[in-house]
Amino acid sequence: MDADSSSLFIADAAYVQKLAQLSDEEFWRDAQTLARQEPPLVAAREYLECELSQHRCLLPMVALSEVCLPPRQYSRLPALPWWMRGLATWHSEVIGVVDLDAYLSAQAARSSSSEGMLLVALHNAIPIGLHVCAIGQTRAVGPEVAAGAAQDKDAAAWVAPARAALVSGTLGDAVILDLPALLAAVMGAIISTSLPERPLAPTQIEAAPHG
Amino acid sequence: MDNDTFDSLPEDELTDEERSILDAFDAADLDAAADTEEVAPFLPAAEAERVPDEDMQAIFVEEVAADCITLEQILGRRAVAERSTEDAAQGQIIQRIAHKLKGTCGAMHCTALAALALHTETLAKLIEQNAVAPQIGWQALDRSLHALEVTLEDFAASGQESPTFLATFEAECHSLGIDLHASLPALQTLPARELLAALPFMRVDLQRFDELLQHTERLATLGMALMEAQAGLESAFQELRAAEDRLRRLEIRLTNHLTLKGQRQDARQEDNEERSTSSLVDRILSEATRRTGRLVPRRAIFQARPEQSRETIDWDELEMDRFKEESMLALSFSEAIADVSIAASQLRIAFTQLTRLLREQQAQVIAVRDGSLLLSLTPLDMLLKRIEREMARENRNRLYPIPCEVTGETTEIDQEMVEQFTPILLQLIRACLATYVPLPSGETSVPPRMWLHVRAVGSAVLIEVGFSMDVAGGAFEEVVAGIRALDGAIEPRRNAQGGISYHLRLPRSRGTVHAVILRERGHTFAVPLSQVQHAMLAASARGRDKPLPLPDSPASPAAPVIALHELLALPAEPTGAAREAAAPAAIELVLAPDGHEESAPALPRIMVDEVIGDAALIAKPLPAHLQRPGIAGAAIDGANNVLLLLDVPELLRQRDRIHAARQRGEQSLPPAPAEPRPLTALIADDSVSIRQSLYHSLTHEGYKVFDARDGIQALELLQLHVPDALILDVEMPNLNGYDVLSMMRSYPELAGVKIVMLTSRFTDKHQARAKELGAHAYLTKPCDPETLLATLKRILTV
Repeated sequence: MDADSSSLFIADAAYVQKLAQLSDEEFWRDAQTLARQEPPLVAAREYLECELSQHRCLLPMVALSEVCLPPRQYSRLPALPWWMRGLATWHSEVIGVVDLDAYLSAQAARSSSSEGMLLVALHNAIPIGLHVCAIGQTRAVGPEVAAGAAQDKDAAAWVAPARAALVSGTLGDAVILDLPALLAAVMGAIISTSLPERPLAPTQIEAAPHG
Repeated sequence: MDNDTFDSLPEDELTDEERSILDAFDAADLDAAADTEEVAPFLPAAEAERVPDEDMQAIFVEEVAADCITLEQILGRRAVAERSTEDAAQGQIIQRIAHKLKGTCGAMHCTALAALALHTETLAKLIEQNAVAPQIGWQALDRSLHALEVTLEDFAASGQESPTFLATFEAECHSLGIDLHASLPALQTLPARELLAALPFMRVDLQRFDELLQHTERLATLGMALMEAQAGLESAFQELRAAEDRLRRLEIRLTNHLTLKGQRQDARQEDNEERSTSSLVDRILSEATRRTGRLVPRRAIFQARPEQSRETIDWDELEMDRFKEESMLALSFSEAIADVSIAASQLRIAFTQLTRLLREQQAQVIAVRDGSLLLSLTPLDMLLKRIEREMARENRNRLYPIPCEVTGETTEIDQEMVEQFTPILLQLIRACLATYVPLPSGETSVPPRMWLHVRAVGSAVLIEVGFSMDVAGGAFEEVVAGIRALDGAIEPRRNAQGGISYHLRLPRSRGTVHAVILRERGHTFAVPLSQVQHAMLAASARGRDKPLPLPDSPASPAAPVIALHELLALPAEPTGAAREAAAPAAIELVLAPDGHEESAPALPRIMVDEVIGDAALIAKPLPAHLQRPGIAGAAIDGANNVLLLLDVPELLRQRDRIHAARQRGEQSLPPAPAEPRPLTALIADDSVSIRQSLYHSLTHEGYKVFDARDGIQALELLQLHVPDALILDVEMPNLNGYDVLSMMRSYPELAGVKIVMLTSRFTDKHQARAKELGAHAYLTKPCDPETLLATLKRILTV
């Protein structure tokens, strides 16, 4: 046992001894205090690399609530935008799931439902699912890069012009997405389609691609 | 900067114009008299000349007087009310009326009246939030009404307001310890279910209880029988295994025997037809051959021996042994096969017995569950009697009593549902009748009445709450959330008497929805059993020449058949032809009549790919942004998939609406417009003065204008003449502005109508609500006509 682990052991032992000496009330008070402590926040610069069918994008870790496996099949709801996969469950809640690739590129989805990963993020406390082909590693992105100081236009060329505003920067061949803006745009479009045949705002007018 | 639309509204600061609107209301708090010589709102100077001031004043006085009478009725009724829930409901109604009064008076720049209305609204809020003692609060409300009435009389007589009564009232409130300017604590809206107390007891039908007991006892007995059948099955299975073992052993012996025999025959052939004199010798040699792997030749001595006859050899003793052994082996083999056969039969019998018992047990489980549900059912007479009592109490305070007719008292519904639904139904009736001011006899051809018609269809209960006269708006908004929380639905319609009927559909029991699970184009859906009469093989699968066996069904053979994927706009499956070939025969669902479409010629049948079965589901409504017409909610299945619960009648209605809208669009296509069509606008406002002034402003600008005095008339006109713009008030009879917006979402043909809210409600909450419901612009009263016209022009040119 080295010095560090020994001291840790002693510290733990002291802590255990201290815990043993606590009254029930003191113990539960301490436990509540610990429980109320904010979990360590993910560094704001941490981005999750997501693979789309032919491209890659980066999403801020801090804005993601969960990364999980998608269901075998998404449930199909009438009058959903074409770039939505359908509905899925998340913590016993029904959420709408967006095909991130289809949404950004304005091209029809290429992967099946069971493949890929499901990312869940909140927009005004409403969970929205983002379906991606796969996830990679997390990458540290400097604030100036995230803000688009050195944006490579070629790397973001595949993003549909209507969605260009959702790209906040590039890192290599991956685009860095402004997730809050993306979620707001998605939610606006979903609400628009819930009003039957109501014309969309000019930025949202687009036809579903064939194929 | 544009300041009248949602997009351009700053979040953290008010524009000058908005501030001026707020100031107009705040001015009501000031004692200083307002400049009463200002031009009436909405009227440009040129237009104001066309409407005489005296007429406008008379209309205004009449409107305010009507509101005062309503307030008087509520306050008078409250005197005999005993329950706090009634206080709460009446307080909300007072708030609504006072709010409307405040807007009307503010629009006419009657600041003292507007201030009194504001105080009335504040008082009702303070009572609701227990910020003042109820007795003191209601006393103050009486005084506020008195102040309103005398101020109005003064205004009607002199044409000018006197601030004296307002000052007196404020002093009275001060003496009662009521601070009218204190900020109100934030309202906390509890979910309807949390407000409903759990049922400690319930009524039980003894006969049903006995039946349930019998079913339960039979279920217990079946449990024992099932265990015995299971043991029998196990025993039969063991027998079969034993017989199989015996057979397997015999098979080995037989195989060995046949091998030896074959080897012997081979050895004989190789010995040049040498015949053995003894089977024993053959055996020895054969055994040696088997052991050493080579053929052992016989000695010559045997070869020299003369051949004996076959008969002599066959009757050799050892041959006899072999014959006996073979016979025994064959006999044993036959016996073993017979044993296996018998054991298999026994196993089949045991399995059949177990299956039968399992089915019986399943039937008993269903009987117990149904019995339990039946046990919780109760006739609606208790609820209806309560409503009758409520109506009688209401009528005691009315100058013109409203008779209430009730049918369907024997209809049964879950007691828990009744308990949860009763406050909502009472709230609906109270809210509808709150501001009802009967016309003096002679001015109305049909005497006012209300009715409650109840009937059960499948596992749903249909209730029509009808009124032969105009009722208060906003009742829909008040109850719709509560009804949806009970997995129910509500739809207001104009009835044959010219009044409004609320059609409610509620499940008979709470908690679970018994639904048919079906598959269409690879997706799984659920349809409440109450909506399905039965399922049958589709005509395409039966052969179209065969008649449909539905002589008494509401879905006659002439009924159209609609594929579910058409209703849901489901895309075709990618696998195409291969999937089609493997698809099971299509099923047609015959829908149960929903009670709303009595005059409909034939209910369509719904074709689906497959009916998987039925299940009891716990369904929840979808989040607001995912709600769609015809999707009643969603359940989560065992595999964690979302199972959409369909409301098929609503899907069909939606389809008809879209179809009608398309037809209308095609018909209305102008061949070659010679000159531009005038823009059309619909004004929906209950205030005659506001309608009149808006009418003049818009027609002067070249608009073709329709007007509606209430929400339901607005909806009717919207469907008759789809306008370019709708100018919509919030506070209106029958259906309020939010009700109209909410219901417009169900009519696709109205999707292109630009909506401007024009209301006295100015808070962010109301603006957000209107935006959420699809309004394009939000203006607050008082609003000058230039702003309104500019707003209309802008949104109509987008």
